[in-house]
Amino acid sequence: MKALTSLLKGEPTSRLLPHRLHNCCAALTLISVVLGLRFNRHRHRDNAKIKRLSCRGYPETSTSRRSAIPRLPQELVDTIISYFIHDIQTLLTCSMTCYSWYIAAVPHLHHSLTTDDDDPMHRKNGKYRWPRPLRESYKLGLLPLVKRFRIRLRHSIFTPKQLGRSTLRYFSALINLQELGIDYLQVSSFMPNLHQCFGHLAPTLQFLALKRPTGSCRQILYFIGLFPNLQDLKICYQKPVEEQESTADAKLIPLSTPPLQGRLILTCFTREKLMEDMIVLFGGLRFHYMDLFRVKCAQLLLGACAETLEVLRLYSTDPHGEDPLGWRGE
Amino acid sequence: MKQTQVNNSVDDQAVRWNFDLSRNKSLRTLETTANSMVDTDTAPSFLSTVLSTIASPLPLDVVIVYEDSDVDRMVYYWSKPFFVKYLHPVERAANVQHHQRRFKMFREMYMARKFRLVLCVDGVDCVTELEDATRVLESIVKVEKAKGGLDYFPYEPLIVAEIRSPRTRRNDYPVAWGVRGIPNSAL
Repeated sequence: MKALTSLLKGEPTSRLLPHRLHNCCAALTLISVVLGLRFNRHRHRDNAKIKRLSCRGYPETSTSRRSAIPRLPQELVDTIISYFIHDIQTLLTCSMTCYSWYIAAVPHLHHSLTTDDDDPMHRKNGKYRWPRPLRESYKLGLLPLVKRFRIRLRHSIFTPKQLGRSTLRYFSALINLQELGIDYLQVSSFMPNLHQCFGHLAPTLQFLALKRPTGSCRQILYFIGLFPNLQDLKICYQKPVEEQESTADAKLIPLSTPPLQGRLILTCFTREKLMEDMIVLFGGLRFHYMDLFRVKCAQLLLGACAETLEVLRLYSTDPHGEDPLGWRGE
Repeated sequence: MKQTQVNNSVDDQAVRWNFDLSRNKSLRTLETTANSMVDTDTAPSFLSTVLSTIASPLPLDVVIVYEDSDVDRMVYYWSKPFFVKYLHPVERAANVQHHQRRFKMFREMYMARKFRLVLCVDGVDCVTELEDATRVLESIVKVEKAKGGLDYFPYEPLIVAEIRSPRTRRNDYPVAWGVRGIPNSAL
């Protein structure tokens, strides 16, 4: 890698070790091929080009010599392929080229998994089969590669009914999940077996996004406390609604205190009690980034993170600039 | 430097109460979206008031996040391959006015609190489109500089292309994005 960097910087090649030079040239060829792919939409021609280069190595290599590509360090291939994490087509093409490229591309291809109950692809006889992407990935053994899982619901709420025995088996295979997003999570319906359904995510989960979660403050905090390595938290509601806080499980104590030092994103958030309890139970807040829109307890949050907050995102359209709802808390 | 009267159309007390940053000692960046800046008449005084509450002596970056529609295009990420639709001339003319309004706001904001301006193109997936959008922003800033509209900044505004919103992959794009007043990341 150092040699490649030197070569790219235009340093004299005499400084490079001879056995590394060969790899550098191959790497540059790889880069040019991949970059060529990126901007070229004629895939058939690209495939042929890759195949030709894969078989023969870089153009100057004699056909009698072994290709340089298999000798390329895997970490170098990983680095090159990682430049295309947002270009699914290129990743697919790379994954079909050779084994080392497949190994480098496949984690990116299966990084994110989303189930959507509005997607006609996931329906059978008009009935939604929510875990279909889970099931298909489970059959292929791909779920350990998934880092980000989003359950997008528009026609139902997320309750233990959605996690039946077989579905829970698929869900439990998500052992390396780092980001989890759930719409309409009814935390109260999972009590007290929350740990059985979500406990396997505890070691790795870092980002939790909840859209319109329901349940008492303590239940939601108990859910958040399941993940001892959680850094980022996002809670969104569609519109600000003043509700009477439920006192269910008022003495529930979270199982752990997540660090929560990353991003806090709140939208249309009126549950001040939830944040107050979070400060008490988690020993304060330590977020470095906040994105606040229509948040009733903005002042409380800004005060709680006074020592740590580095980036704040606000919106001029935030009605708290006009205070039309009288949320100043007098 | 000519002093400009700050528009007091927002409830300054409400802003000061809700977004009081006087206690925040480590704040380095204040972000907002280009869209929200021109979406309401309250924007200038809202941001100026928030900025005026900052007591931290640390240098401050104000990051204005531009999305595709703010730089004259709509990128249809879900189509394969990506489809880019350039805005109608009428919409582009509206964007020009929006840019002008923002530059006026920057001046008012700068008077409330000194900061470095960062114009950020936010997007994922389509690198070439990000580069194009960055070039559009560069040309807009160049024109404004030629008119002397940014003379009060001691440093050049920084133009970057960066993922600022918490979305990392194609699936993260909300279906109903662009709803007036609601940040995309919330949908």
